[in-house]
Amino acid sequence: MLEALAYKPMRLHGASPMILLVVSLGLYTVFEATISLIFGAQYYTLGKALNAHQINLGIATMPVIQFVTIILFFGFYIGLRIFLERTFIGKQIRAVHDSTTLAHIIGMRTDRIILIVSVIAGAILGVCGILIGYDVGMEPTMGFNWLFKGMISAIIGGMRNLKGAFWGALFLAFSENIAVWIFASEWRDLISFIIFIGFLYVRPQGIFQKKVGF
Amino acid sequence: MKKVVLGLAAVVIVGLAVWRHQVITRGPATDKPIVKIGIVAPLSGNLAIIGRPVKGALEVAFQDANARGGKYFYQPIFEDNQFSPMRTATILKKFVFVDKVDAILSLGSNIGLVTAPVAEENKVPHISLATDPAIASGTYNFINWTTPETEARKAMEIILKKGYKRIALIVANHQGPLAMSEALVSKLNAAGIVNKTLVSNPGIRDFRIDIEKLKRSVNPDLYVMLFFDPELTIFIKQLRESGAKTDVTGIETFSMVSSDILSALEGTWCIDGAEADNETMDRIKAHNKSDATYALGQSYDSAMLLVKAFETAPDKAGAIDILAATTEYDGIVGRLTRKGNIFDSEAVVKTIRGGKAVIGE
Repeated sequence: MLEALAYKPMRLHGASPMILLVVSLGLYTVFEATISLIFGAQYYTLGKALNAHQINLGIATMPVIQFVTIILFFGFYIGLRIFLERTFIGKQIRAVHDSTTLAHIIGMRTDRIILIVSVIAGAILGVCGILIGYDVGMEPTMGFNWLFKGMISAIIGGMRNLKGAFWGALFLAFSENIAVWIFASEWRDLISFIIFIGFLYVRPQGIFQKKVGF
Repeated sequence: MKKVVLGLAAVVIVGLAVWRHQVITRGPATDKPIVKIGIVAPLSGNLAIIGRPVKGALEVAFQDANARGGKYFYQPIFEDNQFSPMRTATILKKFVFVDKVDAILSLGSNIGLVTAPVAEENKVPHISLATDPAIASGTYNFINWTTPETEARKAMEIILKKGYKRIALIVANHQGPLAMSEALVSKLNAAGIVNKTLVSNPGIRDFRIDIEKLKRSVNPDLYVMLFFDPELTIFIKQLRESGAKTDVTGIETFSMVSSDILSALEGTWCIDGAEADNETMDRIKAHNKSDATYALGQSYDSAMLLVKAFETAPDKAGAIDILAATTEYDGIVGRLTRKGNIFDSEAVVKTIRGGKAVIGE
């Protein structure tokens, strides 16, 4: 809906990606405030107070919701790779990703492709939000932290690269948790920022992206 | 056309601002001089579960004070700070420069610490419902709360009685919980009880590794929660989901829980500040249409301490001298005893029954 009502009309008016980013931040603030007004600013958990059902994997015991999260993490990655590499729409998405202008010139309906990508991204984010709601709970202001971690993961792995986002997320998650094990939980976000800044200095193109020269 | 619409919009905005200003500045219908009390509390957000009932208790207190027919009419002015010191700073400016309040009541240590210097600088009596003794500095700042020392003493009685040997303290990085943990740790060390403190910043949502570290280091037989919601709920949830059936208790925290996590702690003991259990509290509960009791007795008593000071003093400016000369006050929570600028009162032991913390072991 946002793509159809906000981003597409702006693109048609020649808005740059930076303008779209600012618009998305504005919309984010509007949605956050609206959710606070409707549901209140407090914290909620989905489901029961305690996730009583545990799964024993031999090396670790975890609540069902975490097991489902891990399965979906790998499931989404594999599913998206198959979708992007084996299906016609997936190939069209990759073409638009490489060059929107060229894809448009050869007759692709680029707006439709962008709309499909928006719907898929929204659906995946919706599932992620529900999983977080069941696992650690949710509140109107929680979005930015997760958005930021997602951005860091993508930058670590290499922007515009699905494999990069996947491995970047794993790298970030393991680094954060090892840091918490060594130090304390308040170091979690600090470690993310240190890794982020470190990558921007040392390898700004990310792990899986080749350096683009001028 | 555009200019006409913009002009109309400007007229509407200015009209609304003038109307709002008149509503704010128009006092209540009374012939008596008015004493304005500025009250800053979380009326929305995660801690509204405390702030809203406190507002109700103060409404009852000032209704009672006005019904008694003293020298003054007492007008409470409530402002919502969402428990944010930044919002509080803005509200305080409004209290001092716009409302010109005669006294301030604040709720929470971090809020009291922001309010104290403003109250001192502007010579406005300030009573804070908070733990951190640093608030009660200067001439104009007072605390009306059960002190950390008193609550830690009560907690130690139960800890020794139940024979706990290894204790983990989970402490929010806030002035109040830190003051409380300091008081308890010194008593635990004196009693030779192994203890480990985990101080955590607000906003942390994943404690699973911390829980595992605590299990491996001290293997606690009791977790003392000095945490606010939502971190409190999340910690208990993740502790129980880790398979730990260890006892959990809270000092002044279980009454603030907004989720149903307490139903998983049925029969657990906890400590709270002084509480009233009498006819006045019944009226407050009826006014609030809620069974919440946390901080309500002390809120009522703080309002009445101010009323007594203003009624006894020859003029408004003299109220601070009366407050400073008050060494004991019989409030609805029992006897308040002044130590420095702190009105201390007896802590209570509570037990979780039916998902709520109720007085009694």
